[in-house]
Amino acid sequence: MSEIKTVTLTIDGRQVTVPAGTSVLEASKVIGAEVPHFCYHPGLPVDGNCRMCIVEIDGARRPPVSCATSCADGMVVRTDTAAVKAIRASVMEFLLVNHPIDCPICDKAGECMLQDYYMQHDRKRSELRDEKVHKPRLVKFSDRIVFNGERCILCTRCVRFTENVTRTHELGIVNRGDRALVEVAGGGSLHNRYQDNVADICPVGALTKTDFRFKKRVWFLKHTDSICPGCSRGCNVVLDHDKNEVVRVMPRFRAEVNGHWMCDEGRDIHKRIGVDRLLAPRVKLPGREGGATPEEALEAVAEVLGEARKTPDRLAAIASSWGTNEEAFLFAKLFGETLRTPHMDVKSDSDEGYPEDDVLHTADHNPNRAGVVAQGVVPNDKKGGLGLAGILDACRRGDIQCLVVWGPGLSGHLPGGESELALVLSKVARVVYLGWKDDPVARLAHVALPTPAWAEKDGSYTNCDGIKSTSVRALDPPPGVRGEIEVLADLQARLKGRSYGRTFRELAAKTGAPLPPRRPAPALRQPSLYRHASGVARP
Amino acid sequence: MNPLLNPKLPEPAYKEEFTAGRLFTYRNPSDLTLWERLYVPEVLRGLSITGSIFFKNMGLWLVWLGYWARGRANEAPRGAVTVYYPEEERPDMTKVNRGKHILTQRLNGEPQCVACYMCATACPAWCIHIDAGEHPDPAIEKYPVRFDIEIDKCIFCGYCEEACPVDAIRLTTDYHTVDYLRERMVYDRDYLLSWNPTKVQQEHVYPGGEPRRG
Repeated sequence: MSEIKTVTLTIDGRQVTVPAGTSVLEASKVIGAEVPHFCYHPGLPVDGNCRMCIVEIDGARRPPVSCATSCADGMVVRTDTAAVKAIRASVMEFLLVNHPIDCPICDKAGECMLQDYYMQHDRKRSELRDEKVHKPRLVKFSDRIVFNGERCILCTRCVRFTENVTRTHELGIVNRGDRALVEVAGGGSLHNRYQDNVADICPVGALTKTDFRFKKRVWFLKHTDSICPGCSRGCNVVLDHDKNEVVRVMPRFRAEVNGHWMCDEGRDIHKRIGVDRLLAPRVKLPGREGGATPEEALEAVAEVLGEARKTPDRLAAIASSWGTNEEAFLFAKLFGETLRTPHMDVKSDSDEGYPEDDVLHTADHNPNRAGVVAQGVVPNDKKGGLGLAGILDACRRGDIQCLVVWGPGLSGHLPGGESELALVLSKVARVVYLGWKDDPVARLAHVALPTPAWAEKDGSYTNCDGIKSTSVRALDPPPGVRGEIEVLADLQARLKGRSYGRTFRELAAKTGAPLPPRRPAPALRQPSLYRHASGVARP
Repeated sequence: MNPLLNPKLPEPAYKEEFTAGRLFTYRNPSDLTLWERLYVPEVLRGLSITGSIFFKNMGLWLVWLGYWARGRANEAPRGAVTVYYPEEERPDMTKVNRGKHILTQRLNGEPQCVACYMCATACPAWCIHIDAGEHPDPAIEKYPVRFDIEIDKCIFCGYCEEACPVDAIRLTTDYHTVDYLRERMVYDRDYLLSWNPTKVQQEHVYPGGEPRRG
């Protein structure tokens, strides 16, 4: 492997060494000298049309744009001279000539680059005496995206996104001068699966998401690092939530997983949290019928498993592919080590969603199949352990006495669906269900325990490429619902197994989960007009 | 310096302090006279002051009863300075008193409000709750579907009024916010929009009907 060539330059009097080919804008980020920019985005090709990132370079004939200038050895760059500040102020003035300044009704307000840069670099009244140019507003680019031409500053980020990331080429700039507009080619609509990203990268409020439109002002949102469980890519996301409700899902930059982007299906993933939830435990054991407290239900599970322990060959455990690595670790230890069953396998919890494509989406609609398998939830071949199909066949024959199902979606593995599931489970003496969805198995099981959804618990996930990402609990689970880690650790204790820890942080050392960076505690209320309200680094 | 921590400093005989524009004098027990330290005579003196005011008021009240019996209660001499709220109200209430909120209206009676949440953001009591909706008129675009003010939480600071970019919320001088039910103390959008100056002069309008009396 050849060594990467580096160059050394001086920015604001400080020496910086960066790989050759790095732009001056990126290099100045290294020393923390923020160069304002609108059209530059690290995930898109450089365009250099907004002229906001102009810096002074010694020896250059005129101040160049820093996004399109590569660093060179011995370069001397100045980002905060009076001349540069004057240029920024006049660029801002021109951008705001026809801007409607309708921040009160604009969803971007609070995380708008134009707003922030106005406060930082302009701060003066408009000198325009004529009427502003009016352009089409409320243009529906698709069911998901609404366009407001008056707010647009024509940075072409969205155009470059459809050209280079999705390569669908729907958007383009039509007309010139103050009549220029972003339009969908051929008068159609946006039809790619990643279109919500154009609203994210829009530096102003020209492109807004129908889903988030008027829902919440951004400064009310709390931000929690999470992952998207929609497919095995496991895109790193930020859940923006308020009042125990996720309002939107935004991509979080992770170069090796999802880069800057995520798909539209992932944007809607939070809508699954409240649907078909199993909220209270159900116990249908003889002598224990009727409503049960979580404690009684856990006792019932321990009793069932204690009984099944006598014949480990007739006990089978099916794990969820939506479970975290830590839960899978405890699951494997509980059933493989403490109860010594050879029959363990992982199933698909979900098969809804987009088919595979060549941008991000994978064919597997479960986030952590690889991780659950890696933690040891596999049939024990030495003892003739059965896989998922084998376990279901054994159930059908009546060879399994106790079946533990973790997570929904078992009926999807049977050609006959729910009716066949009822038939198969009727041959099993004891069925235990553990999951967050009110699944057919939950209705047929002898004991069903509710668990939190992924946004309601901490855990790490291993994606299709074997990269681990950690998801932090954003919401409170429904009252009385305890996490799988706690439930499995409790069962382990009741069945006199080894103790491996009861919290995510204890188990993370065993599964190698990357510990999430501790975010500073959010201010009580953050109506910040001067800083980026979301508190996350902006590309 | 705290005199208790530094015994070298002489202990002041009394302390004078301006509070709310008035001079208050605090005396130490040590400089009370012997007569004052006897306690009982001073207590009796205090009782005689309050007692004399009481009997004076009672006498005046009997006089008032006589006037009232003849239907001339307004002309009677008044004893205590108490205002008999809610039958009576102070006539000298300031014109800039901050009271109940109203939402201003467009010419067609729709709210002027554009649901920007500035008031809800500025509110230190977090008593303003807004849900925004898409207005059928694209020129207006955003408007409040729900606009609730929990008047029992409101501290009448007036920040909402100040934060509003479109002069949609104002505080009136009307301070009649009392009620017997918390549910009725949440003013909804329609109530806030129903403000009508002539109506307010005639009667107090309560959301959800007139409050139950005593």
